[in-house]
Amino acid sequence: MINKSMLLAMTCGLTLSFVSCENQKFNDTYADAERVHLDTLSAELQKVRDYVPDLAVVAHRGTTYWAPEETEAAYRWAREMGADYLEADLQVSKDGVILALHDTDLKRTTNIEDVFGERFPENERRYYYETLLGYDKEKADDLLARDRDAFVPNYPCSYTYYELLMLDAGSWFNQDAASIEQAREGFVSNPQYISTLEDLIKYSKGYRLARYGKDGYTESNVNFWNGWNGKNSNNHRVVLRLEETKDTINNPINYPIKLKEKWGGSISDPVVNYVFAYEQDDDLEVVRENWNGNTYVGNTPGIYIEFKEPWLNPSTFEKMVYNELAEVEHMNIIEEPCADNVPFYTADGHVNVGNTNGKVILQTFSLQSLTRVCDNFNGQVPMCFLLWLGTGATDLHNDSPQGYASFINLAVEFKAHFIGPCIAGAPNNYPEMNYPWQHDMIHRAKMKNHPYSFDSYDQMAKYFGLYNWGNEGGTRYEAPYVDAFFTNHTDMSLQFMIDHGFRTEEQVNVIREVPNARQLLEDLGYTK
Amino acid sequence: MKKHIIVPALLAAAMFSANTVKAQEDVNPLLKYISKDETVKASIGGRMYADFAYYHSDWTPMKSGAAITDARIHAALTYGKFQLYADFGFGKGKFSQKNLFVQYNFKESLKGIHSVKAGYYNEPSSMSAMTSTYNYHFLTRPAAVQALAPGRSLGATYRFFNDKFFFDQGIFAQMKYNEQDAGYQGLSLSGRWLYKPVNDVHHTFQFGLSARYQRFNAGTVYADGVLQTDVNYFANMQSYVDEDIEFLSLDLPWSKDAFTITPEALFRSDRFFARAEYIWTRVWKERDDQRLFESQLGGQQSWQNLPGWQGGNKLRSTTLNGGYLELGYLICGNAYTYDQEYGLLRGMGDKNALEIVARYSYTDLTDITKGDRFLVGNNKFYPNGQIVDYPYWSSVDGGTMHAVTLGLNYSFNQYIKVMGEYQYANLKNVYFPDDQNFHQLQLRVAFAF
Repeated sequence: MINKSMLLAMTCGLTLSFVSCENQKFNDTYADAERVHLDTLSAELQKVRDYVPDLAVVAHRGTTYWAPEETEAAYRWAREMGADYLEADLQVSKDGVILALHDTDLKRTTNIEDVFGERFPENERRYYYETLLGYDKEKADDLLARDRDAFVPNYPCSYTYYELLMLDAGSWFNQDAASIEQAREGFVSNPQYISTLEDLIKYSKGYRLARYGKDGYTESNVNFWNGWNGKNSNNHRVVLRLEETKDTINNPINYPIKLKEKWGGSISDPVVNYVFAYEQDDDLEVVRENWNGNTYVGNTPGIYIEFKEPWLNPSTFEKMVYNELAEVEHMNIIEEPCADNVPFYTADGHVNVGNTNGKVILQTFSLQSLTRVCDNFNGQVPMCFLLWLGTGATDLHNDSPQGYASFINLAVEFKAHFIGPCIAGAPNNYPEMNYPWQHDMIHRAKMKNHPYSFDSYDQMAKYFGLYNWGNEGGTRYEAPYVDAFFTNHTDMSLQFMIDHGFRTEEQVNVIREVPNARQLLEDLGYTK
Repeated sequence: MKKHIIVPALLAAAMFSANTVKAQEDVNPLLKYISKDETVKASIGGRMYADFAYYHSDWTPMKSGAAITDARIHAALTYGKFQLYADFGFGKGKFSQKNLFVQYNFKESLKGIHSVKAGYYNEPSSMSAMTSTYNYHFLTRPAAVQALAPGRSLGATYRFFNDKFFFDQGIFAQMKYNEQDAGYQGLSLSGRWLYKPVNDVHHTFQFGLSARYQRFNAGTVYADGVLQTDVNYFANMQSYVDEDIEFLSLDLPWSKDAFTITPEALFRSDRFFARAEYIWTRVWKERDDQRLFESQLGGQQSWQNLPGWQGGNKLRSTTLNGGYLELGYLICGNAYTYDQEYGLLRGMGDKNALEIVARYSYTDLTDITKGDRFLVGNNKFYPNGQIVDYPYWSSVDGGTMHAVTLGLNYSFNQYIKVMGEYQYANLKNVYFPDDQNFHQLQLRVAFAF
């Protein structure tokens, strides 16, 4: 009996041994994305999430396509174009001015190679200490010695904002092969500067820079421009005064000095307050009307500001930004919340996001900054956790549902409200991190999806569902696979959304016909 | 008195069997030549396993199906006190080097047998690792043995055994083909030592231990001429149809020395056997920190001093362990038998024999610092749970598995067997956060000649 049973078992085994299992199904990304564990935002955090309008258009660095990025020109253009948010990257100068600047190397977007080369700005720094701040020579000598030792060329945090203002942030755009077709004489004749966070806020509120010789300011009040190589202050931005504050920053550029213990372990730099002048931007040569007879001028977009990698900024950077938002134009809604019923768009057809509780969105790629933002803002200001696929310090390495979920869960844990994944496709050709199943996972966590950057019609069409993107997931997914998005082409993006019915009735009241991008630049004074 | 007569008889049988060519054959070979004076014995043989497996896992699928999991051919020759043995695998259509050695029994008496052996063969170690899979009572060796016990190496050993003792020790090269990218070869010193207080025809009880010291010298050039040595510990899920090692796998760069100790015990009666081993391994690492530190100097982001660099590039020793307990009961068949020469339980090979077996095993390839947090999105540990952009960690995780196996084995005769198993395994591995429960049904048809 046993023998027969074993013979039977062996026969079965041999039969099964030769059965092919080629059709067995293995990892199903769609199924895995639905069953992977996701934490969810609390009701309180969902309320903050909803401070931000759906399908908001975020003007990435103002624009990188039509004007020099993160300058007055780019932000004024984006504001008047009708963007819901002006996006910027935050860094810090050596003297504690919060910059709106993307690159950590000043060579690409300024003429630093012509102005300073790679030398330490000895004369400018001495003038800054002795004349602008009024230090005696002995103190200035000590500080100069320390600064010389810590100096690293081309790093923004190596230079005082006084020195950074010497740089031309506009003319490179006219010479760069990628943007030479969009070159304009007006980007040079109206000098463009490395913006500050204060500048960005002022631009969002409808201001422009006040300039000498144009706005009733006849010469530099603090001998600011004339102090630099005898330069004429005409048409440069107005600097009313400099004030040394009691605050200090631990500038990362000074870390090697601390390790040398040459300066008593001190790595602090004093924070200097620059008092600038701004003018209401209501004197455009051509004030055009929209469909209901209202002017374009007067949009008040919000700002979408990114904390760069913490190792480039002081450890107190998030707190510095918190304070600055509180001090400039009532931008800190924790300190001064807006009423809940303020509309995103005014009845007379203007973007009004900048006057709502959604006026500021914070963002970062950095895991460390994510935790610090949580410590300082506690989820009470809308916050986006950005994703990039790669092997860098802040990157997602594993974009399987489990890996993706782990970063979403981290964002929920540290009270972010949005995930900001990169998208594929020309012209940027970033990695794809916004598959429909990934968008769906973000929604399962009760978060919203703010992908970047939409710089072509193809990208708009793909993620808004015109190209059947996501159909392979069956009925699981429904376009659009965005809740708001970053773009360098606010003009194209807005037109696409209007044409395809993705702007709400409230939003359409703002713009039914998108301004011509080139004409708008002309109207803003940036002549070809 | 009877016992003392029987035991030397067993030993003599091990020494002078006329029917086997000996060396390391799984069965009494069918194809053999024995000279009239029995000074020359030669044989050729082979074996083949066909396995079927069905798997069920929580998250990451394992590939159910069928596979020829082993196919080999061997040749053996005994000439006087010399034994030569060679076998080669050709499973999956690929040639693989298996055993290739010569053994010389330089002193044979009823007090014991002294021999030396040289070539490519199993280092003396865990009794599980030393047992041929054809004579094993489970489809695979325990994962802990796969991961932590040595396999075959190129070397030489001296062995002595009698009815009470078994000593086997030797020296082995780190690699068999000297195929390293850089550096000269390391070595290992291995030994297995047993005491057998009970050893007769019907019973054996033995205990002892094996130990192994390894020195890793061969490696690759990491940067600026710095040699990086490396060691990998891995095991499959105690199955060969899908022998993926991703669930239990640990790579330890900069490994320089390792020490493994394996206490073991075996009890055998005619109808029952029980055996257990515990394997403990510690790996020490070595890295040319000064040279690596100096090679990164010169940038604004460079570490400025050696202690700082070392703090950002932590390196510490790693401890791993595992063990198993195997039980068997012979329902039909003559008796379990014992191999004096190798100090091992023999396989079940009686005509129409049937046995039921059970095993518990655990494998711990995890060495995580308490408080560390792991993020699967970027495969990083965060010391003390602090989320930063540059975490400096020293934790490693190759997975921890507990597995229970129940099996039923039947042998038509010593040449043909059928083996069936059910196994439940519980996995914990930070790289597979949703894979915890694994079930598998396996069936093997095996033959040897």
